[in-house]
Amino acid sequence: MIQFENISVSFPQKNGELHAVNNVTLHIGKGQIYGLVGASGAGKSTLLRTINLLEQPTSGKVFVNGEMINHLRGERLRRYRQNIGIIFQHFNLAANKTVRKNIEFPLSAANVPKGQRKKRVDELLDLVGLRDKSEEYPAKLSGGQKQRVGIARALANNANILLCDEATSALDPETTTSILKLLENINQKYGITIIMITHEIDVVKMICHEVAVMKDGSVVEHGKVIDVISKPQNEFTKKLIYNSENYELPSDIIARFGEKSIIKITYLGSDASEPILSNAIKSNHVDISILHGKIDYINHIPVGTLIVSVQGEQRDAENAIDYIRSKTLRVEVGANEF
Amino acid sequence: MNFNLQDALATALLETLQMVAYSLIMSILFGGIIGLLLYVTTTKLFYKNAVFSEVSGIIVNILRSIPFIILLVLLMPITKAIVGTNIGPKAVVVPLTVTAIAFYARLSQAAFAEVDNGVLEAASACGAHPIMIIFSILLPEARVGLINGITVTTISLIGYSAMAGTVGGGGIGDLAVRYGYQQYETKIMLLCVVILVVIVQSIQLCGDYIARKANKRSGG
Repeated sequence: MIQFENISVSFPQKNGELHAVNNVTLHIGKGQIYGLVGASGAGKSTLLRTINLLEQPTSGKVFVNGEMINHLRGERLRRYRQNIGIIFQHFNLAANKTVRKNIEFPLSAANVPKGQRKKRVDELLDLVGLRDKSEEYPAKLSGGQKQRVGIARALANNANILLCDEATSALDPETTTSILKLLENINQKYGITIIMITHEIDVVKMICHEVAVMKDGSVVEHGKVIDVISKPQNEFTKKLIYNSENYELPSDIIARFGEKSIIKITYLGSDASEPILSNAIKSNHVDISILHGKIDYINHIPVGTLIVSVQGEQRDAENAIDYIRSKTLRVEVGANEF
Repeated sequence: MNFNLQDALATALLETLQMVAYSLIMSILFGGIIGLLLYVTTTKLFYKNAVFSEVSGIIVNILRSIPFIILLVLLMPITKAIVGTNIGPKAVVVPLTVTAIAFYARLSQAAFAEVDNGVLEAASACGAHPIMIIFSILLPEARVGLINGITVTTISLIGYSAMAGTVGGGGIGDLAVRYGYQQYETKIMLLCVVILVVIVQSIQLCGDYIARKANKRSGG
């Protein structure tokens, strides 16, 4: 669907050039919700904007639906952009247009006849749940409602790709969830490919199917969300994920059990049917104390995290940990490691 | 007093009104267009053209730096060519308009520049033609700034029109200078000043009111 081939984008600066995106090659499949995560300044927004050519790649090729789009200009570029919706962190609605007029704008831009426009706007208002706000001005709406208008505007011309540029970063957690649900719903209902830029790993966990992690303009890791989150390979990815999880234990707990005895177990929901801990205790003469535990839903798959202390002879403890490791997704040893 | 004050005031008011009205309409039209050109040629989303924007910016600046009274004299040949005379209210309209065009061009350019770039970018990302973005996003979004600019320009024009007396242009300001100041009729001078204050104050109030009505940003 979308294929980046050796994409680089650089901006001229006072002293030399700023390489915002560095030689990125990436494929995004049709109908996916694809996350692009990274710290601010990682180049994810710039990369996203090469898809609708709001940003022109300095080198490399962008293919969308098999067609190279880098060289589109003028009328062909405008026609192409009508099929690609984009929503923004700060919504970017016209303050002097009503909700209806904001949503109608892309339809007018695509020369949709007036009669059809009204019908389409009504459909979109129903889709985003704002039928009763159609004659309001954006200033009267909440952040979540403004983003809903943004989504309706982005989808007006039946876009098959929706770009989300930090679309939930200006919203509170509750509103974020409702907007993400709406996006997921749109993805399932219409099969629209959604590419989401975010610095919040939780957003990725909630709705993305695949994810690419960007750092300093390059993609450092990518794959299925469940794989990247549960078994991050890259140091930066690990840091990004751990920062969001925050498993820091109180120091007196660590002192009482001993730093080295504390382990973090990550397991898939499907592993939970086996009595793993119980087996580990029975066959190795160890005690296991549970210190912390929670279950995350990564793209609707339950992923558990358990922090326990394994007490016993060193040899027994090692055997127990090896047994647990063989039965779960991942085990990290030592409280200071996570 | 060997002249009818009421008649003189009425005539002067009418002359001021004429001078200001003509030059205001012309300056909104041409100043607005030049302001728009200055803006769109500095913006990547529209028609960035560094040479055009630099050159026209310099021309506008030159016009704005010439004192009005000098411009009045300087433009005399052109005035004669356009309106057929060098004196009277009609003749003053030409230099007034030239000054006000340069003035309003800068004010409208600033009003356009204040429009949120993200909104224009969103419109561009919809696949809208730049001309359509200008008419259906840029102009409506800039309208509060444009209206405020018109208010300021109108008030400046009233001030400049007082110098019209130099070429026999008449108007309230001229009445204040000739009868009031030069003939020591302090009362007439004060009366004229009071009338000017009231006019300027009303224009400002009207302008603010219209701008407030036009502003949907604050939910009004």
